[in-house]
Amino acid sequence: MADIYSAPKKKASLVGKKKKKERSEKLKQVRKEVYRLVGKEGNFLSAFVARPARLSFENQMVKEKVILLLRRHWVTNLRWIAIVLLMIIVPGLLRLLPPFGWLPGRFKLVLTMMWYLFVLAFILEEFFSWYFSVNIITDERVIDVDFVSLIYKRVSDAEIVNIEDVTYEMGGIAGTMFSYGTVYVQTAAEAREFEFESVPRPALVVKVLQKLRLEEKQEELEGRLS
Amino acid sequence: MELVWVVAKVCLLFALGLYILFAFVLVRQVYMMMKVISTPHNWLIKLFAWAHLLGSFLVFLFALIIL
Repeated sequence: MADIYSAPKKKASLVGKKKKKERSEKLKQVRKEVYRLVGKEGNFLSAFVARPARLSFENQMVKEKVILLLRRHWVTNLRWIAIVLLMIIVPGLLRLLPPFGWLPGRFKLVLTMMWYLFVLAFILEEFFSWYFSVNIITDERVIDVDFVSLIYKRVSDAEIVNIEDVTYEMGGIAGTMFSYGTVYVQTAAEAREFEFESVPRPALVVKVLQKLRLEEKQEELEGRLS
Repeated sequence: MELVWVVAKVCLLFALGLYILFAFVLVRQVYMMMKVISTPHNWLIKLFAWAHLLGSFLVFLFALIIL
């Protein structure tokens, strides 16, 4: 028997498509807003690198885009730089002390060279610790890489969708003067907390994370509805 | 008295040997960290680490000859 009535499927699918398009437009808008917020700045020695062009990291997913790469503000390096400056003048001061003066010239020379090697090691250790301890914010995750010491590193990550609360703390004379602070990211999983220590522009970082959370929620909604 | 300087020489060479080991660990650590984060400027960091290792070798050789 022939069908008497058939439902207007075409119209319903058109409405669905329109809604889907609207949602993806909204998503694009959120992403644009994130890009507008962070801009495009920083070089490989910056503490705040927005949308780094050729940066990749371990376990990066194929379409995952890095939005921010954060390090401790450069001001936090001044302490060890001051120590290095003091260490550099130590051999000159030691020359004035009798026990060092009694040593044969060749021993003095080798000891001085050893001291400067030690200073170099101190510089490298501090610099690498600053350079490699990064916080990466991608469009999917936040990653915290801690280069604690020469033989100890810690890498942890959390999906943005699992973030429950983002707060920041800014204080102290240097923090207020140079606009840096600590961002705390609380995730749902195992009550974990990420700490982005002494990062520049913490308010902006929090704002970016909020936008990304919004984007993830939209995506989740889209996934549920489609 | 001569023995004192021989002992001092051995101690210094031993310390420098340990330092070479440390410099090598530093190179290894840099490579490990580069696996975690890779940037186009990684070669510069590698260069620093290798130069440091080479420097520690040279100081060891220098101490071996001069002492």
